[in-house]
Amino acid sequence: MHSEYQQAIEQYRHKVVTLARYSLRSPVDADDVAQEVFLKLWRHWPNVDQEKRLAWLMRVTHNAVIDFVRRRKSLRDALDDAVDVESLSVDGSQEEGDREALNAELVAAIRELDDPFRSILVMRDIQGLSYADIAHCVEMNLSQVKVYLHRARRKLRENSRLRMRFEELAGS
Amino acid sequence: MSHQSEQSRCYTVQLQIDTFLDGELGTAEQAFLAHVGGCADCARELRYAKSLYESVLDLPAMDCTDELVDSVYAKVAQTQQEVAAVNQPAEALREASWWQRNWFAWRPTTAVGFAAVCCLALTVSLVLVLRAPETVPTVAQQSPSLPVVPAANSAQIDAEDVRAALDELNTAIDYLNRVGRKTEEMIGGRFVVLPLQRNVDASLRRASFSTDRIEAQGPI
Repeated sequence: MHSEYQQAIEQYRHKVVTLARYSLRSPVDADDVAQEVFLKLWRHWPNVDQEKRLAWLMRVTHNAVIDFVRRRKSLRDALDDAVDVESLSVDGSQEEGDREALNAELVAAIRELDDPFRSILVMRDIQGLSYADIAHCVEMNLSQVKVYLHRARRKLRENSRLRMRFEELAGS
Repeated sequence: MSHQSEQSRCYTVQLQIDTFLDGELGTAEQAFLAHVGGCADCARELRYAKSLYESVLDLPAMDCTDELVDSVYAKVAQTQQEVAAVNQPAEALREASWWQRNWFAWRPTTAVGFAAVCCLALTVSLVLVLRAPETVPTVAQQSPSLPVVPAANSAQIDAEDVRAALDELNTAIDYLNRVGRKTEEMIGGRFVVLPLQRNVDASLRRASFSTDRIEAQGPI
């Protein structure tokens, strides 16, 4: 197998899986999407610009998630049919448990965002991609990406369940 | 400041929160901070936005399991094998000798060429057979040695034999006349038939003389 391909997989595997898992609640579905993306990378390997490999992977992952949700008819179906045990695991101290619960609520709120708000928020605030890479992924200009990012954050702030959880944590 | 303008100002500031958190507010940052410093609602909103933003930033990246990567590599390897199986004949051809490669390459041309040569040969043969003139005897053949019976031997020839010979001779003359008419364009009747006719007539006269003599002498 192409060693350069393996290096690219090793380099970007977590970013692809992160975007997929923050987009889909079921880790199994997210892994299926990630696998599909990696295989697409293999099939399109000669045509993928080495300099834009990460942006290409993010765009393909973003599109694969959208396709997956469409196949499931609605995002709600995808959200309801499984539980992300990885991010919801609560153990250890009370403080850690509260933090884990908050993170779980936060992840759920992010997953409830529509595209492209969700993908842009994940790529920028969780994965730390540049605006230029994100613009390439979602096929927008930089200004549009920033507008969508700010709207995504505002939508999160408007999530009443999340706000309540934060206030509980601040009060305790 | 009126209550309405205060509300409008709060709305504007809260819209600027994310730009502020990104550090991109620029010259408007002073006015933003001044308002937040004096507005409890906006200050609370900024605190919540900041803590939420930091919480999002702290969210962990998800791990891609080794099992997932292994399954990808396995599928890629399987795809490679399938592609190799499909391409094997082409690769084998590439590895073949120059003669084999060109034989494979030329085989259709060779077959077509061979068929064309066969067709041509057959056509030429048919044309030659069909256009071949009925065997035209040469002058020598057309005038076979006439049974000119030497006078010395004529006494030994039976009269019946002479008549049979005359019949055969007339038959031959008829044949030659027909041949002469058919091959008129090729050899010309006057060059073959007429001289031949004259020779035959002369021979007949001599034969008639001999026959008469034979008949007069009676059987030997």
